[in-house]
Amino acid sequence: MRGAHWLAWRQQRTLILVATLSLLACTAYVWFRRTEMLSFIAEHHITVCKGWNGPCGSLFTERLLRDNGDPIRALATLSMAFPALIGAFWGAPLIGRELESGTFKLALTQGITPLRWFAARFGLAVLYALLGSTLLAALVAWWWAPISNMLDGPYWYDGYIFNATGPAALACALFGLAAGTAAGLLTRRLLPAMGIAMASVAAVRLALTFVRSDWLPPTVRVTPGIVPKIRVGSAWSTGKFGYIKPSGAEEGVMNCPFSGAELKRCMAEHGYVARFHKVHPSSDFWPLQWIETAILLSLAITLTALTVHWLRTRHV
Amino acid sequence: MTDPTAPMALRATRLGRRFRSGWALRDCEFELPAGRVTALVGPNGAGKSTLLHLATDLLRPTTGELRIFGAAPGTAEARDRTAFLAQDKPLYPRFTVADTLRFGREFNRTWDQATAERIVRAGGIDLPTQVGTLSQGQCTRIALALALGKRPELLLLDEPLADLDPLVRHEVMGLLMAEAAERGITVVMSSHVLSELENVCDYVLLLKHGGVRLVGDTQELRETHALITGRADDGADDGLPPEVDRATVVETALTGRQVTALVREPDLVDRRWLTETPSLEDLLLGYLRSDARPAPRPAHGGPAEEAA
Amino acid sequence: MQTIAFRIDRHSGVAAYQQLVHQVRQALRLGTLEPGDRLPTTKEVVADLAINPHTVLKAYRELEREGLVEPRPGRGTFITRSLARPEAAAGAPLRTELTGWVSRAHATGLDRDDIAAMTEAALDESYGPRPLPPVPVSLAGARSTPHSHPHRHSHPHPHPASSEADT
Repeated sequence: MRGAHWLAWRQQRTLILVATLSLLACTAYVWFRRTEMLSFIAEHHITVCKGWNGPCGSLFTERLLRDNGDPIRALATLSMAFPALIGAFWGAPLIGRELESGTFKLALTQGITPLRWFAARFGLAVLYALLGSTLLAALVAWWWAPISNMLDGPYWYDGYIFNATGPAALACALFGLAAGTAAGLLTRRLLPAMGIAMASVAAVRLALTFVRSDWLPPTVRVTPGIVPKIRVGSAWSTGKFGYIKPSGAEEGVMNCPFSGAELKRCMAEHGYVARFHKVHPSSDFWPLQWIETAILLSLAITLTALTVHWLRTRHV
Repeated sequence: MTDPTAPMALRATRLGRRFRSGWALRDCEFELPAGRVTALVGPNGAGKSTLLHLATDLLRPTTGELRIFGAAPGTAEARDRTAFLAQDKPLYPRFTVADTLRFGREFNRTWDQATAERIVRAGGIDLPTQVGTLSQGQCTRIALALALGKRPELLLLDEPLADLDPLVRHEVMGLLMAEAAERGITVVMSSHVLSELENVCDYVLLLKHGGVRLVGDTQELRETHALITGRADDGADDGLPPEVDRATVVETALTGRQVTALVREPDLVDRRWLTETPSLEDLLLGYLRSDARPAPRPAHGGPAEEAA
Repeated sequence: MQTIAFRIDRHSGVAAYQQLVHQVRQALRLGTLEPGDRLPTTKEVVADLAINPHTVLKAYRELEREGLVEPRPGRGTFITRSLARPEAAAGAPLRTELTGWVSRAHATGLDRDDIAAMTEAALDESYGPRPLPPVPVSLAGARSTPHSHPHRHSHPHPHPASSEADT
């Protein structure tokens, strides 16, 4: 390795080593647990069915979900925390520690431009943030897929799964890195920058989770008459139920009791012709993922552009 | 010793730099010739570090410009020719000495590994030692090895002797002078320790309140100034005889019946007054203490104007 | 091996280059430097003394001008002439005579300063008086002790030229 790439490697090799070992350990663990899970499914002839009131409940499925649900959530938590860790331990020191210790004066007064100094080190960090987040997101998805959206197991719209897998998890890692880097630049101190990096990842994640269901209009499921309602299955309920008048007008669910003969009589009294339920089907996973990916990526790019701008028009 | 055709190592034109707290440097005009050892002197906050940071492109000027051998700081040409030793001598604490030298090699087009290693070994430091375990004096040596290994034509040093014990000071200064002797590099160093500059520097740039107060060849400056001492004249407040042009007086001190003054371009030939050439320290102290008077224009043309 | 170890007295008031010239002359008189000896290089001297290289160059130029040394390009600066006077060496008749005279003066109860004053006066008779050096005072001394006589630079200059050039 030559020039700035050598410096990037020399400065980050400890991080790379620690991260690689941790990720390898995770992979081994997941591989072992998933193999065990699959043999349990085969051994007990468990049919995989979707929905939390699916017709597949048995003592074995309960045990399957009990044994695997929490470890999957734990792995998913690691995957969710990864962007914050990247921001705090990789992004914040990138410039923050150099400003704090004064070593930027050493680096920026050598024969290469500040931009190349930054690009090589940030580039390696980007590479590793992508590698790490991809691996973690893939591990979560791989382990979770055989028992996805099943009974009281993890569902695709749970924060654990949605935030821990898919392209948005990768974009979030890049955002964490960019936020940590910019925070280091802003505070010129390592510890505050680490705090800001973690806080900003948490804040953005929370905000996105909070508004997520509003990105796409929900699918309206209509059940004519009083025939049994379509089960919610693996769809994400918006919590909006109700009745439909012949005019197409929607009315609140509280107007009638939920089932049986009373429901039938009540519907006739009000002149309701159908029931509706607004949900996000599991196919909404990908559009929602791409929307959040776009948001997180633009935040990451904006912060990186600001960092580069500062490097070009320096104020020590 | 000043050759008017010699290239200027550093040239400032209306150079100014403003921070939120105000102007650190303002309207600075000066030239520092190549091949000289220049002392950059001034009280704290005079703009010495700001000037060195402007020369290394760690800061950009608010007004005017600074040129290093004619090139703007930050250009590849200026980068290759300049080395900088910051006041806190920053080094990567977790690197070994060998790593630190490799850093210099990887980051500079011109790198003299032999010189750098020689300087390190002369201090009794082993290459596999971790930098974080070294003493302050040893760190200065490593930082200097890094700066000199680059084979710079202009070496900028910000308080290189601060925080060093007298023995290490002497050693570091000796090392610096030896390299200056061997390669003829231009050295600009800021310092508080005026007495240590006496035999080291042959050029001086004195900054005060962000402006240039004095610039020129130390010998010329000393020869164009005089310390006069005599019995105070009762007819004047400052005790100086009436024939002394007050505009040329840098500083006076009245002690009992005796008056002492630092005077620029003296034409006093009064036998009652003892006239002698000031030492560099006398000269610098005089200018550092006096406030209101304008700095002289050195004979060879470098304009030195006081900031308003 | 270095032939001469220079030293600089920073408080003497004598210009550094003159101190170097003086020390070479002294070494030549004492015979510690002899024709053919190589003087240390500029780099060696400045590394040792931490002084400006131009000071050494100037001292060597001065010695060259006096015909005491000769630079040989690429090899160094070499001593060409000795100042050692056989008449002044230990054991020489004049020296023995003087030593005897000093012992007699000592025996009569004269102290060192008395003898120095006598020899100075005798030297003045033969060689003419030395020019008187000015008494240096510094602004620093005046400022730091406002109601007393400034006396920081109390060493008188050996001769007036000393206060001129430094580097």
